[in-house]
Amino acid sequence: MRRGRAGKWFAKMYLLGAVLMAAVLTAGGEETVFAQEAGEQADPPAREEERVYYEAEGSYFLGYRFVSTEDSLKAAEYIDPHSSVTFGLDLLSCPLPYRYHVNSEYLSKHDFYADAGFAYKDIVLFRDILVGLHHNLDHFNFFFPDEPPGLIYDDRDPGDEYFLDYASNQLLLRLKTPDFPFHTFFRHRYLERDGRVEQRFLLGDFDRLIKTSASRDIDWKSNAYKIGFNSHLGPVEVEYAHDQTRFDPGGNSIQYDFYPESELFSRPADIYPHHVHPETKSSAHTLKLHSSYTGGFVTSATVGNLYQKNNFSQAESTTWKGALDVSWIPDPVMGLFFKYRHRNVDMDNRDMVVLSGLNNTLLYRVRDSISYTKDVFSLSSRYRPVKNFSLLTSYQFSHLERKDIDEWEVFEKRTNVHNINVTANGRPFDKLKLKAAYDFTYHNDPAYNTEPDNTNRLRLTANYLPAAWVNLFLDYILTVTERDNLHYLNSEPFTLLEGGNREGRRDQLLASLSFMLSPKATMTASWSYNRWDVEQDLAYGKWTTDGFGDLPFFDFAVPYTDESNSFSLSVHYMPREDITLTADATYTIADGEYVSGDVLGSPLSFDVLSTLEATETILSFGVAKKLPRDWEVGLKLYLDFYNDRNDDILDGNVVVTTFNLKRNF
Amino acid sequence: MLSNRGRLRRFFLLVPAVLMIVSGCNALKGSKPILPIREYEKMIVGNLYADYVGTQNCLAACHEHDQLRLFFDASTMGAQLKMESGMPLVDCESCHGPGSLAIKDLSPELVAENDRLGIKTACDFKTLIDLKNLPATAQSLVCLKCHTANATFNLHNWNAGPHAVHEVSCFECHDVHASPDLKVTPLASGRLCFGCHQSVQAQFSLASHHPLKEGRVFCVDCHEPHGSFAAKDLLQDGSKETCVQCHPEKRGPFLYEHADVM
Repeated sequence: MRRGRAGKWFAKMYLLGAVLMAAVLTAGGEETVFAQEAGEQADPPAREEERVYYEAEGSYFLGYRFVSTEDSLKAAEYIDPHSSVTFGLDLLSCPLPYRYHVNSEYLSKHDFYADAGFAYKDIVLFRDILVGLHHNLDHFNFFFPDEPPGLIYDDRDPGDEYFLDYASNQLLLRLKTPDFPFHTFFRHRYLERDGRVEQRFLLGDFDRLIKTSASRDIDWKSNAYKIGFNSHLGPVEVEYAHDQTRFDPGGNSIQYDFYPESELFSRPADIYPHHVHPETKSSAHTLKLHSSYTGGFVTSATVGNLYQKNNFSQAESTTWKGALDVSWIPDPVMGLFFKYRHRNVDMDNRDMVVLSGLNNTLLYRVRDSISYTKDVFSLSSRYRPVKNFSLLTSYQFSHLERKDIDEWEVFEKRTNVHNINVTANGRPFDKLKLKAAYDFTYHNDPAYNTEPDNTNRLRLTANYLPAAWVNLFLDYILTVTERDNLHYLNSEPFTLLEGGNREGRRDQLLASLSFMLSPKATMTASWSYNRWDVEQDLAYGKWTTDGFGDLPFFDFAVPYTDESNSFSLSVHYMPREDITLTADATYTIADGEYVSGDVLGSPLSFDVLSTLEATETILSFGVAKKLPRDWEVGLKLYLDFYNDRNDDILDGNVVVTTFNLKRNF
Repeated sequence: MLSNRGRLRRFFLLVPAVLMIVSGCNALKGSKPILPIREYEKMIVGNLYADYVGTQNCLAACHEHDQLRLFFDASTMGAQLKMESGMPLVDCESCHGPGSLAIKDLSPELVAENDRLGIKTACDFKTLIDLKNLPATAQSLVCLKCHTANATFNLHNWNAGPHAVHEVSCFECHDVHASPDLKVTPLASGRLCFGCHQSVQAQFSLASHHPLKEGRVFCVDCHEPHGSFAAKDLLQDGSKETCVQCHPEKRGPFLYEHADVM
């Protein structure tokens, strides 16, 4: 495992920053003096410009971050659980005609951020954004070993901790011709995901399934390039871009395991490959044209294609895309906007695939992937009859046509979706802003059981400022969905079941109150509430006789609910000019479960598999004290307590203490 | 089903057709000052009785604007002050309108004398364009008048994009006087976006979230606030194309592919 690679990226980036900084400071030492040159355009007698000094400004810091964790790393999901030296640099310098900027922080060798840029007039623009992140992953467990009988659970690496180190570097170089509207651009994104993940899969055969968990080292890399140009052809601005991407899954892209003999699949016992991460690549061409942005009519059009290929299975897809935007402002109080989007996706995969075991070769038939064409039209309007009120309405129609669906049974060939939205913005008086929006969506022949026939959505937002020192914000969203005629496919005996209902309701509320307690103290308290209720009919395939067929079993009106409440309080206080205190506290409680009926003869209720209840408490405190000569000393404390109320497996705490010494310049 | 060659032929027919259609917009562009746009243009032209007096009479004459001047000089627009650049010239009056009425009662001597006495000399700024109270479309027009011709970055989907439709102007996110660098940094984008999208911010308090509040993923990693091909202002042309930027192992195509996932 090359865990230090991302750190090397950061080191390179930092070297670049140091070079930039040295250049800037050197330039400053050589008298960074730039006179303004604007006298030639003025009627009044030009006088000699004052010389303008623009000094580099920013800050750098050095510190240490102590990280302490206990039990599960769930509380430290995005925290590298190792103490580390920290440092950073913020710099803005403009020794014209050059401009530089650096914003960076290094928290550990897997946790860093750097944004560095260089510009020369408007001719050269270079920017590089480097991000590193450590992500601690859950180690999932199967909580009911040997239940139901016949299902075996095998965790091959029960003590392993799982994580990903993510590093991304985005580079942009733009070169513009002087005195002429033409520029070329080059973008590159390098991405790396390196770590150890939990690979879960089924082994065995139908009457003896082994649910397996195993550690898998990954070393994924992706490169994406974009090159293009932009110019004006008379009234039209044209931009062409070519993209290429390649994903490299590294050396551990295929898993191998022993599978027993299966009469059903005519499979001899052998070691077979499974869970392949294939190498993929893509290329795209995009042409964009648009008229002047400033007309009463503005039109823009996009045409593009995207080709993607799987180098392992040889599956291919070709996508053609088109777009047209028209905006028209016929009257100062009204605007009309039309959009059209077209997408044609042609999937092409092999009819048969060869599965090569150690001693045997199997030939599997592959169903055609589904190709489709989608067209979306939308017409929106904005009407502002008076300064303090506006009304926005929109209608959108989408038509989806699927191809090659014969082998898939459950899909509808066509799905049409109609959507209407009405939004009103008002300001009845200066201190109150109101917004109300209603949205209705109708799916004609939805293909998936999670897609509703009808969706009604209402949103109300209020922002009230009764006095200069207090602000109240309220936002409530209610979404109600209905679906008839759910689809279930029973495989053996083959039956397509069409029936059953699904009704859902989602409530989302945010209330926030901000106070300016004094010129030196502010406080914000907020409450966020989310609830999702759904009641639906479910169908199961259930084995009634050993080795003899399925029986579709309906469980009617199965309720599912999940709910979360999040409370937060934030305080910012400056007791003295040179001291800043900050404190934040957030408490979140989330739970969810669905309650199924007893499936005929089932040894356990499915309910127990669905329950989730957890709380998370996050506290953070910070103090910063200014010192003489632009120095500043700071201390930050971050605590996260995760309480897995369901089974305690994810319980964990993390405490991060960061001490910084900072200097502004 | 069309062959690749057929599609290529269709592509090459489509491109000139689109070019012709958009070229037809030349007439539309020619008739740009149709009524509402003319109204907006009147708003951003400024006082018709005033003359342009040049940047030095605004900034050099008033010491309290020194910092503004520094930022302005350091910006790309500041570099465009030279006539010989051939680019749209930009100075204070490009956005604030002609300023002769604002300074008509001022003289260098008066400014210098007040300065000596420690008194700030205010110009008659009410004769300038009231930028803060312009309609959002007019505010954006102040910027777009140059950026439609400048070919520096492409605002291709701006005009019919959600922000333009909902009257969110350039000013909401870009502060011309805040810094030489007018771009919004990725780190700053979160604070900026959550200023309006508070409900989205609240969802990042839930246990399962992208590391946005941790400062390692940014709103602009997924969204293009200037409008885009896809719904919800996604950065790429669809949700899948946006997600696979950071999750490339999910790009595919796979042997057993999802259906109409975009």
